[in-house]
Amino acid sequence: MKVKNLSFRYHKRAPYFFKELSFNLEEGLIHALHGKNGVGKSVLLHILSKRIEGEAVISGEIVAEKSALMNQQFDQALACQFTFLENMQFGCLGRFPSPFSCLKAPSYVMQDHFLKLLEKFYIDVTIPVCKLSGGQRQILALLMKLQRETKILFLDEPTAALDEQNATMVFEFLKALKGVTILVVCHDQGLICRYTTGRHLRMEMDSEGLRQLK
Amino acid sequence: MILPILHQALIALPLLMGAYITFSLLKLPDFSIESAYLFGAVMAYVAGDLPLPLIILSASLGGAMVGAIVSTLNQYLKLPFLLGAIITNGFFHGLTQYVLGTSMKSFHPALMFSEHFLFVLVGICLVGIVGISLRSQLGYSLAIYGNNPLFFQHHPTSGSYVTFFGVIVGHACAGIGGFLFALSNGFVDLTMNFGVILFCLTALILGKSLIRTNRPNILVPLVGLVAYFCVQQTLLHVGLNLKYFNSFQSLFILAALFCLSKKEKISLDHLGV
Repeated sequence: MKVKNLSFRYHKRAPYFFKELSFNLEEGLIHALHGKNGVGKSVLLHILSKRIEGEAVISGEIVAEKSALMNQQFDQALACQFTFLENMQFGCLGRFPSPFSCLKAPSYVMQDHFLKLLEKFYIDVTIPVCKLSGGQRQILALLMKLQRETKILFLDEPTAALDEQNATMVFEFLKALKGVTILVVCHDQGLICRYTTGRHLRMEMDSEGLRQLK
Repeated sequence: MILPILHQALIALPLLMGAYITFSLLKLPDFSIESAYLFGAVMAYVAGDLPLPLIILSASLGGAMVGAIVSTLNQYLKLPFLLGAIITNGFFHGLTQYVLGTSMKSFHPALMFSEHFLFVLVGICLVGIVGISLRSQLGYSLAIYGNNPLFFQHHPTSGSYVTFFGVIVGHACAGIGGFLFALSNGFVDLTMNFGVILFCLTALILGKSLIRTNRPNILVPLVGLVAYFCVQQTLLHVGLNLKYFNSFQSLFILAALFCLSKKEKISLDHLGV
């Protein structure tokens, strides 16, 4: 993933939030984004995943394959009264679900490499999602994104709502993913140090309020 | 006793199918289903001289029109669904009075066959169509929306499409229900929709108590409907005065919900269905 001269303002008359940010993320690694609360880490992730709307003014170049953003409210992306397997089927629904076609077959949505991953985390795909642990639900939410051939994951504090055991489970899952580039914001320095395999980017704000990456 | 139960169940079947889609699956506070029920009957009255299939089509279009308006208010003007439904009810009350001219009109369209046969035919067709749709991608999408409306913000599926489709189909069914009711009574009446929501909630709660499933299932409204009229006929046989029946229904809903939440230790959603 390549970002070149990325600048951002909330609207035409607003001061620059970022100015000419440039960085590369090597494919298939876990990269970390550090910074204090309110410095703009989430804004950057939203821009990179193209989820900024309204009057925002963005310039520069973002060269990236298909990406997805996941935040700490992963339960919003799940239908909790249905099973893990059914949620995986729901993740394959098109923009306009057909009243004539059935859901995709379980064998189609649970590909072999996904099944092997789930066995490692003792996830029962036949019980309702509301009965799974927070970490297991986060893994489901990520799998639903990965089903759509997502190559880059932006994770905004994915473990903020999880205890240590579940947070470790989520990072173990991320480590086990092959060929997916991950940029993660996480305040748990222990986890970040243990699992980051790529770059450590640090976002800071200068005296004029301009955000910079180091 | 069985024949009156079947007769009434067949008349109310389309209405309850519609209510199942909007109340139970989408979990919307869909009070505008009252208007869809009445306006379906009104549109059938307007098309009364046309062949029967066109009368049924008009009734469903009348209901669908109510559904389209309330969905538009909710999805595009961003009004809360309940507020949109109240506004829609007010609008269609006036429109109904304008179309009918008086508060009641006699309604005797020419039928090719007996009323009972028509009720059975409409019931079979609707059960078939709605039953198949509920097993489809769209049927599951309706249930997902009811479970978590925010789901669609995180996935490419259009939540507006799901809501529009569900509400319009649900209201179209209710419109056909209004037509069957008017046909059975021989008149279209401005007050024929009173108590419709209470009836729907009671029957759906009964259905949910007897068929325990979170998945879209046509058996929930079917079983709820038959159970409702069984209870009603039993009460009439033991001497309950029909004028107190609405009060009885309210108490029945309270008791059923209380028992369900105690037994299952579940927290009830805003409609209990």
